[in-house]
Amino acid sequence: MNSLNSISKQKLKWRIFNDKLFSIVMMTLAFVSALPLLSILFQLVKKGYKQIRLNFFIEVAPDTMQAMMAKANHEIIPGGIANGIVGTLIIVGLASLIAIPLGLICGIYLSETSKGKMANAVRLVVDMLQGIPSIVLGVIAYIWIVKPVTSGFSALAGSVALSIMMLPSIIRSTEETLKMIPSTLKEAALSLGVPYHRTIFKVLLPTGMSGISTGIILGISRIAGETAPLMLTALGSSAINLDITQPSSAIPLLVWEFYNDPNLIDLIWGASLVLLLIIFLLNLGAKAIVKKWKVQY
Amino acid sequence: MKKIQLLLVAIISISLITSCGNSGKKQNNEKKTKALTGAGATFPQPFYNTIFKTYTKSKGLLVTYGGIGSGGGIRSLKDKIVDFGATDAFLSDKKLSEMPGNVLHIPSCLGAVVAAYNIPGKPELKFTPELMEGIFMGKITNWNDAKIAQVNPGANLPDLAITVVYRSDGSGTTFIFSDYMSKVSSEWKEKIGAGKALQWPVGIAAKGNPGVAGTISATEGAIGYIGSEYAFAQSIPVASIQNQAGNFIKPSVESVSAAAAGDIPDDTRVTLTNTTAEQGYPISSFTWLILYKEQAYNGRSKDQAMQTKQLLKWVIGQEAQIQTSKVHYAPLPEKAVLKANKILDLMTYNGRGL
Repeated sequence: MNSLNSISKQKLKWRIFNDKLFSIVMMTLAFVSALPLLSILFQLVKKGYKQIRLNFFIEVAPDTMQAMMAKANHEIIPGGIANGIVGTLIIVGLASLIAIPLGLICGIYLSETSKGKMANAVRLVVDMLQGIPSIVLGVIAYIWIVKPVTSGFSALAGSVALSIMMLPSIIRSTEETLKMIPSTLKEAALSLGVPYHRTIFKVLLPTGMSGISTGIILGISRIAGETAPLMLTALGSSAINLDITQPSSAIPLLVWEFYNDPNLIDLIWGASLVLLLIIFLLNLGAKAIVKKWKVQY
Repeated sequence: MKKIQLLLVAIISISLITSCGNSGKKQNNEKKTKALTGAGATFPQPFYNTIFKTYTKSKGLLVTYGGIGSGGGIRSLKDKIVDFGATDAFLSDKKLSEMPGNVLHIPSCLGAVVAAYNIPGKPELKFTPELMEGIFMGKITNWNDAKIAQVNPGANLPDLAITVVYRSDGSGTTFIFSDYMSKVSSEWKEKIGAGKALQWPVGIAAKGNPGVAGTISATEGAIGYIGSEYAFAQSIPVASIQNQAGNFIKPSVESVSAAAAGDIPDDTRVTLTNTTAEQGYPISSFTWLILYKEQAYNGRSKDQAMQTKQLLKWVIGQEAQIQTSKVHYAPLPEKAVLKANKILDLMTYNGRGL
């Protein structure tokens, strides 16, 4: 009896030791994988915080001469990234306007007809769409919009390129969310005589709101930092431009522009930091929405 | 349901607005121009950004310039999606014939490509064409080589390997540099030649002028060629280079201007490298804005054509040229301005002069 007890105790100790060892290893590895993010944040804040002041958000990007003069006097480079912020908001907003309705409708279709050749084909195509490199979408938008429609670089062309990038994440999140909603909910509505389309719009969509809007926000934050497709479509602009048929700036484009001008290089950090913060906030927003609007069945 | 309807209305109205804007451009020739768009070379971009911002402020016409590289500038003009393009290498006769219309070259300023290096102690160095060939072809591999010391008596040359840095992307800067090297070295001309992208015998690659400048700054013993603005802004030492007249010339506004002292053809398509001018810096070049002679293309209005002409006249005018030297470029010589003005007067709209 006694010896048996001691054996099981020893076994138990061994197991506890194993458990602790394993969790320590896991925690270390998790920390290591989070390390790049932390060091990126640290670098950006360290190099960019000086630039972040009110002017940085309300003034347009400075030109070479202004930057040179400020550097010679050891002052902070004047100006800001207002043209980029406004451009990013317009381009991303327009892209959302195109992608959200399309993505929702496609997602609803996929969740309602989960089997069938057509649905499978659409699902496959959506998955493949996710893998298309962003620069290819830029070339496509160049051929579709820049050359024939606006006959020049434009914010609209940038939006089209980015909206295609957004589609897969919206479609997939809509489909997955709607599939998780118990069918009894739908059956209840239908049995009360509610038409099918009203059932979808009034019962299913509101119920799945948290999942769907998370997908949308993640889609937006995915495209907000894209540079490559915008270089071929939106081109960039030194002024705030509200006309969507004209070239427009965006924060990632400005970062690229700053990199190309030796006098403006210091501005890269501030602009990157603002971009990162915007995407950070969007992600936090997605988390908050999930928490708040989560429907319990 | 109402929300969905609203969304649909929004989408339809947006597509209507954009299509109206487009067809309006095509039908109404008298439509006022709100903006002009140009794209191309990154080498003069600091200069363009500065003067176009001034122009936008003083004339109220938004001028947008995108630095997408010389090749991109030519392609954009070919696709007829810009009002003007920009390139550091002028279009050859063959390329001109491939364009869908008559293309005009307007020189906008002069720039220098410099040999920038990173040696501890930052000694001032002089290079002869032979030394340039030796270093960039990998024949001279150490900074304390007797050949370098012979040209630079008294300079403190360390025992340090030479690392050549070159451009990995197609670039006008590479074209200007290799054009010069081909002129001074027959071996270079045979083995490497002149072009926007080349097979380099030695060295490491970096992307763009900023990439090369950054690699030079970060690598002890490195040497590379970059647009002068990039060296000056980051205070990287640059070499004096011996020109045809035998003088060692430092790149400066004066020596680059001097390089353009020779004759300029009527279409301004000329390389200035290996100049015969006594005080001229040998790796200098014009950079050009390119545009169509016939301005009525792709639904552009007459006003847009006139605004384009006015903008280009302003670029070669005194107000803009005076700003060149402030951002380390050199102003156009007077005869280039005269010729450019003549070329601009050739611009037509539907066959009639502007």
